[in-house]
Amino acid sequence: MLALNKLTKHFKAVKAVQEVSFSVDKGEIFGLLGANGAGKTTTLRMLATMLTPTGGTASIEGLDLLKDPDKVRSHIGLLFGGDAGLYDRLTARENIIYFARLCGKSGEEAGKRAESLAQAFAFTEYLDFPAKKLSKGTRQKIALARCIVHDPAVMLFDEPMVGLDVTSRKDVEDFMVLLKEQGKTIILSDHNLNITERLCDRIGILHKGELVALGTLNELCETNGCKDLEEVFFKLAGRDSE
Amino acid sequence: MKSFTGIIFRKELIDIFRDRRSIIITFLLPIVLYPLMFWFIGSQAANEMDGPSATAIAADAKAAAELRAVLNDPIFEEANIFLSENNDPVAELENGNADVAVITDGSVLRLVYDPNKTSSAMSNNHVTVLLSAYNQTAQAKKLAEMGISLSDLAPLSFLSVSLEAETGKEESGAGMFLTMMLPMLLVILLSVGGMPTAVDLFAGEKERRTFEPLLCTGARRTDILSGKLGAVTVMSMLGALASGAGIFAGYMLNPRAMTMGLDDAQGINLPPGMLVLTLLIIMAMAVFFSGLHILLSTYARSIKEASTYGSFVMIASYIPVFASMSKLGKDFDFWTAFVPVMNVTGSLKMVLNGINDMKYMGVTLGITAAFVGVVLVVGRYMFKKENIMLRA
Repeated sequence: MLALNKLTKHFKAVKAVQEVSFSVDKGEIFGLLGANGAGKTTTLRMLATMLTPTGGTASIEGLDLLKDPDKVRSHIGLLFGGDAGLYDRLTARENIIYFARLCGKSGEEAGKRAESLAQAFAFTEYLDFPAKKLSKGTRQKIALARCIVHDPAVMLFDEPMVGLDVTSRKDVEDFMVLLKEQGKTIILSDHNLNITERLCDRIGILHKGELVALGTLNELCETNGCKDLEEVFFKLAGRDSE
Repeated sequence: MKSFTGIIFRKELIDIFRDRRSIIITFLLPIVLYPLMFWFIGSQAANEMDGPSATAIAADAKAAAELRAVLNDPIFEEANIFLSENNDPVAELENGNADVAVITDGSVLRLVYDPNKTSSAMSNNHVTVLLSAYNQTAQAKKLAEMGISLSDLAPLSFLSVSLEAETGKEESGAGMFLTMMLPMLLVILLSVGGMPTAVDLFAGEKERRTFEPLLCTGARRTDILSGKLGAVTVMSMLGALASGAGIFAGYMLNPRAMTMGLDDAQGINLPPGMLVLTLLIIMAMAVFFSGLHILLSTYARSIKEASTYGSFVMIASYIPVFASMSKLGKDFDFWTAFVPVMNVTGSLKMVLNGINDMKYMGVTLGITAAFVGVVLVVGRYMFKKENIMLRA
């Protein structure tokens, strides 16, 4: 469970995120949409405790973001797209074990977890390969495994499918559905409207740091008199909204 | 709360040791290059000290005969002066075919040399010294025939004696060349040794986007800073050690080459306390420079930017190092113990000169440790500033 209450972030004169409030339940995928610079990544970075909010707050699994940042981090998993952010000279196994250890797992636990995640994501044969020698799709699988190595309740995905081929994208989609079925709380920030439509239970649209729409796909279409998400997006956050 | 410093430190070392370029630059190059460099530079100097020679060309038969008559004296027996005749010796000198041109215009024998050419300048010095000795011997001989000793004509007799010889103390010290060169090399190596690692571990992490996932783990930012600082310091120390091994290997290959042909190295007799203090100073200096590179690399957006900032540190460290390059151990006034970097150079020179100044070295250690403290405090502050950590 995750709840944002008037979460705000200003960078000097720039109002990156402005009093954003919404909540995401267990077993729900929440889509966060917005043009570049709308405040999606800043919101996710605040939830991941990398940035301190200028105003408002948020709670993750009942823990306040501002009061318990260290404990909050133990309940979240964060995955970026584009580049998987792996250590190239370490093997897949070492990458996963390193993050497991930094999340408090013992060496033995971390090793077992790396094995089981490799089986789950079907990259066992690449476990002892240096990350730099692996394909982009496999690297992203390892990054996924790494971000759930400590079994977090809340998952934050920031454009996780950027640069992936069709098969790898399908793998990531299937994985997100699996996490949802396991009762995880998920926020997905992505520019791909089709994926958002398909995967997300509810959608929030950010525009210039403000949450301009919130609801299910049907609610958003009905409220705005649009036939699909693309029309809603362009009406609220596209050039027409300037 | 659990500290993750050890886990981060271990991972960083594994990561660094798998980077072939870092290993080659940090370890292999110094071990191979330093012996070669010292052997090349030093052996040249040593050869010149061991067997100086001169190629002289006389302008005419008269000058050649005059000089040849002089060269027959026993004083020139092993002088290695090769004389030939040419009607334009200055042109030969300009063309590099001779080191010295000999011209006579009556009573004076003129030796013309090229001050911009080492062999010409050294040859001129060689010939001049021998001719002066020849003159002095000839004068002494004539005076003796008249029943007068040359020393009787000197208004003052003097003898130059070292302090050790005068006080009967055992001579010690690494010699002038080593005292000048080794501390300078060591400080420069410490100032740059940790740079490639610091750039890779901080700016490199930002560039490769591995920093953000790391910030989302259970590790506190101070754990990340400490673990990485430890790894950078280890690399800096190992780099300096590798260079030391390279210099030692050079010494083993040709000891005279290491002292530029000077046989003034007597060996260093270092009490255990001083040895510990010296090692602590070197370690503190390594941590200080590592911390400085970490601060700059943390602030930088990219590897390129971090490398640019790092080169400023290198240049800045050269100033106090070169300012004290020609100084020997006893030339360092006490106030210099308060000048960072220069005080480390001073301490090392004192050790190499066999001077056990605990007070100077104690202050040096204290000042260097204080700077390490400042770097750590600034580093902690920077690690908490999100606009620095996520600067992209």
